[in-house]
Formats: sequence, structure tokens, C-alpha cells
Amino acid sequence: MVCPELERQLENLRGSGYDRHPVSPQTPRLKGYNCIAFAAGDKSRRWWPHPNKFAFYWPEHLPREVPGAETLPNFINAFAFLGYSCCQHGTLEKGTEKVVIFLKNGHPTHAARQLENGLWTSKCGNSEDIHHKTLEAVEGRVYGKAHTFLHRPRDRNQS
Amino acid sequence: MDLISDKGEDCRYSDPTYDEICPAADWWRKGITYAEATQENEDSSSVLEREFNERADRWERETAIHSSPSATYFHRDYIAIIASGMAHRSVIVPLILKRIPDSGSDWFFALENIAGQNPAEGEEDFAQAVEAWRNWAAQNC
Repeated sequence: MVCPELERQLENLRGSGYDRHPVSPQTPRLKGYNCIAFAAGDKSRRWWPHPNKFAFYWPEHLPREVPGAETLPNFINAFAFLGYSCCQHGTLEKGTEKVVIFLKNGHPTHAARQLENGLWTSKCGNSEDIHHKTLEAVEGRVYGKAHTFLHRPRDRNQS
Repeated sequence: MDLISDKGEDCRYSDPTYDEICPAADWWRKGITYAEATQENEDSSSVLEREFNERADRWERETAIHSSPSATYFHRDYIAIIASGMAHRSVIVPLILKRIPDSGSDWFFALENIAGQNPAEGEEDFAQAVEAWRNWAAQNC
């Protein structure tokens, strides 16, 4: 199933081979989740180091940052909190779960998680969950480029 | 509406025109003062509400792809709503508060800029933050 609205905003998505999983419109979206939460395996809240704690979760021991001035180390540390460590690439490795942080103009914008079959899964803001074959499919003017890869041993109970 | 210009630029983040921010900017043609014109607009709350809803719907739809809150703040409709809220606080703030519970977008940044303060600062619970803003609105709008 394709999504014209996503294809319009993510210029490399069309024809890349992706599958969408629409989010239920009945879910109040502020109580939903975003891409960082989705990559972290948490569908209960939105993750972002925004100063408003009532609207965004961020690991307690990590700093909140001024909107627009978020830093890559803060996001790396958030995933390190979940057992991830930096690695060199996003090539599929058996028994290993990987995530990637996207940067635009030096600031984190998006994250994707690799599935056991090698596909990547992304939550595109408040809108769609998608499975995409390549990271290039979601790179571009909205999210910038896939930049930092992290990995951890895959939990067999996770999808 | 095509948001990509012929030059490949993303038009969503271009500056709004004066007429977009102040659609009633022809008040001087009517031979009335600016104060009278703004009072006239204040009375036309249904016009403001319709314009607010159009802009709010479009802003939420076009920025839904972003997880980064700051990436949504520079949209022309959001800027226009803040400008409208500064001129017509008693109309716009209640409209924002009415929309917040069912919205996944960050309306608190707009409220802070309209109010010039943050009565929800330090709150960690969403419902309490909304309540803090409702209390503020009851006293200031």
C-alpha cells in the first residue's frame, strides 16, 4: 500500500519498495509515539529532549535541549541507555538489532530500526509507520541523511 | 497545493506575506483608525475561528511527518497563528486550548509566544499542563 502524502514529502520514497502501516486516527496523537520512541521499541510516548517534560519523554539522566539545537551525542546516549553502542554500518548481522539516527544540518531529525529480515522500519512523525528496503528511501530534504548506526544483541521476543 | 517551487525549493518554509498574516490589512481604506479596525476584527470572532481552523488543520497535516518539534515551528501557518494570537488573544488562545487534547502537534510553543510566559513550566503531567494554561486563559483572555 502506498501513501501519496508521504511520497510527496519524502522524495526518494516512491518506487523504493515500501509498505505502510497507518496509525489509528482514534489515537490522540500527543499520547502516541514518534520515530525515536518507535526505534527505541516504545509505542507508549513521544521521545524528544524537548524542555516540556509533560509532552515529551527523555531518559531522566540526559539533558533537555533547546528546540532546534538538539545534539547527536544526546540521542546516542538515549539509545546507549537501552543497551545500544555505535557501530560502523547498517548491514544486516544475525542476532544483532540496529538503529540509525538521521541528521539534517547537524541536528537529529529521525531514527529507523532494522528488522530481522533486513528491512528498516520508521515512524514518520505523527503519521505513518512504514517498512522500507533502504535508508536512502527516507533520506532527503525532510530528514537529511542516515548518519550514526548503533547496535545491540537482538532480543528474540521483539519483532 | 504544490509546495515545491519550479526551482525545487520547499515553499512551506518561505516567509508568509503581509496579507497572509494580516488579512484585514486594508483597514485604512475605510477611513477608520487602526484601533477601530482591530476592534472590528475582534468582534468578527467567527472569521478568526474559520481562519484559525484552516491554518491549524493545514499545519498539523503538513508537519505531521516531523518528529522534531522545532521543524514544525517555522511553518507559515504556525507563524501566522502566533501573530493572530498576539492581536486577538481572547479568541485564539481558547481555540488552541480546545484543539490541544486531540492534537499530536506542539501547540504549547505557540501559547508561550502569544502569552509571553509559560504557566505550565515545570509541569510533568500533560493534563496538569493543559489545566495550567486553562487557568491562565481564564484570567488573561
